[in-house]
Amino acid sequence: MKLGFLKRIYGDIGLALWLLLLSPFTQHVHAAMDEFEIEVAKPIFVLPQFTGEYQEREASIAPEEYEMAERLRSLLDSEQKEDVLAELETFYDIELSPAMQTLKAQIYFSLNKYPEAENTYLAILKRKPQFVRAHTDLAQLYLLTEKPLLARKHFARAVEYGSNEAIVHGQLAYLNLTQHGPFSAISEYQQAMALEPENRQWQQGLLAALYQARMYAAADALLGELLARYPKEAELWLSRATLALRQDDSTGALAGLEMAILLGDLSETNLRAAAQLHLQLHSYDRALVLLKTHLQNTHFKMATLHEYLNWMAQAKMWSHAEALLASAQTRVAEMSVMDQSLYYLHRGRVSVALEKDAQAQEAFEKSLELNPSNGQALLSYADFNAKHERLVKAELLYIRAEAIESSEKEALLGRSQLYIDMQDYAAALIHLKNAYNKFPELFDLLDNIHIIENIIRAQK
Amino acid sequence: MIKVIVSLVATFALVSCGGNVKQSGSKYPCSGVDWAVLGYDTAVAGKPVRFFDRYKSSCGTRLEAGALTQYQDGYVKGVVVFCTFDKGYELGAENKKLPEVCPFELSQNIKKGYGEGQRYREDVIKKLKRSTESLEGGGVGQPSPDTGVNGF
Repeated sequence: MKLGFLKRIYGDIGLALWLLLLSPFTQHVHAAMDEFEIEVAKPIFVLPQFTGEYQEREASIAPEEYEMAERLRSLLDSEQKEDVLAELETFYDIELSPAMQTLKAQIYFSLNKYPEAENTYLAILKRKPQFVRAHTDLAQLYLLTEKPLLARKHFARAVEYGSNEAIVHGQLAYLNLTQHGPFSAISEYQQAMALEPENRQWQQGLLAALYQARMYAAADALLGELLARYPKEAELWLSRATLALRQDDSTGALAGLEMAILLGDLSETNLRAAAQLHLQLHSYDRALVLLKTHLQNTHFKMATLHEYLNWMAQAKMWSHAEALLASAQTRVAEMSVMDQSLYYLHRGRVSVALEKDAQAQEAFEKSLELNPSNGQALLSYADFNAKHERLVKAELLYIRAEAIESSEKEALLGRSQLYIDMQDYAAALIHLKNAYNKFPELFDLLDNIHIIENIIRAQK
Repeated sequence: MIKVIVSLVATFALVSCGGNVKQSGSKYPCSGVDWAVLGYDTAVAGKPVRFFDRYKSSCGTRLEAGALTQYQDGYVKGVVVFCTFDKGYELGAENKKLPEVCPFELSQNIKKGYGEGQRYREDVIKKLKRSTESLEGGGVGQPSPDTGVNGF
């Protein structure tokens, strides 16, 4: 016992010493864990030693051209562009001042002689590489002839050499947005807007750029400003809806969409989106109104109705689904045979849910009459018959459904359930095993198979 | 035998014409010319751009496609080399005529140089006159005032 007591004391002292030794290390570890240091590369600034010789950025007519310029001006005033061009074409390019050569290029441009205009502008820029007007005009030409890369290059040069026109900033912004992403476009759109704040192109462009750059707060602020100015612009409300959706604000999105619809926007996509949002937010009556409006106002598609009816089925909106089906009744004749079959399938399902058995039966039979290979109709009708203990008919329908690839799995399971309900466990077992063999992903069936095997064994 | 030799010589002469192809009836070659170099050399020599008109009028529609464009491109490059202050100074100092070939944006430079060259020339002439007068006043056997250094 004494030994044990001594051992205990030494043990305690040792432990205390050990803890004392460890404590600074422990503190260092704790400190190290509290502070993280990440090393990043230092930014590198490159300062050019010489940015190039300054050259004139505008051009004027040579004194010896004044007389000709007057003559050409009077021809231009009377819209005789071809005559002006004919006179200018008598000169070699180098004999004309860059200003006069620019006039020639502009006339080519206005007469839609784009290759000649392009060559002339390029020749001018060889003589005066920093000529702002030539860069601007050439960029416009490239935009028109769908050469956006070249257009961007020359708009950038124009800005570089001092152009401060709103259209140049705006066009450059658009091209930067499409070619290099939103961040290179935002400041240019802002420049354009600073010069032309009422220009819708720049407003929309800036909004698009902010949205693409995920600067949602800034985009929202801009939208707020625009909506205050143009409250009856449906497009702006739609933009607000889009922005709200991006920020997971369903209520805000719905508000935007409803305003747009109120202002007359009845596009298929927007009506559908509004209906979907209403369903999500459980405002079913409004959703139904929108769906009806959509079906009435747009080119009718059964696929769309099918989608809506599926939503309603998920939300168990059976009476609303019935109302929607009724509103589409007049359009049934326009549908293809397959679509009509699908329509009656939905009628059947809705009637089942509303316990309108006679109508359900009629609808299912109509559906199968139109398309005997409608697997879903076969299954739904089989389930209906099984529920009403018309077991033989149900079995026949399940057998038919098994022959169709898309409904085979459900048919096998349905038939197995039927046999279980009929207490024909042997048949149920065969079909369950068959289902498991064909669809091994139904591993839950193994439990059912074992249970039925036990039942069969017990019965013996 | 003589006929054979003559026809062989004629054939050889035709073949040895090489790249510069003069179309029949054309005084100037209509193709196979380095038009850009022609333009450059024309400009650097101080000749007007319309030097090319002789090719146009001589060849007509037979002129090689793109010849004018290449010529003008070369001419523009050459004119930048020619139309400089230094060239103007040289021409002014040598009392040569300033050719009117420089485009508007380059003409200022060469004109300034020409003016400076002319002033330099006048200064030299004045100095020579003064030294000639002083020598004439002092003795015989001095150079005539009509001749002088560097042809002045």
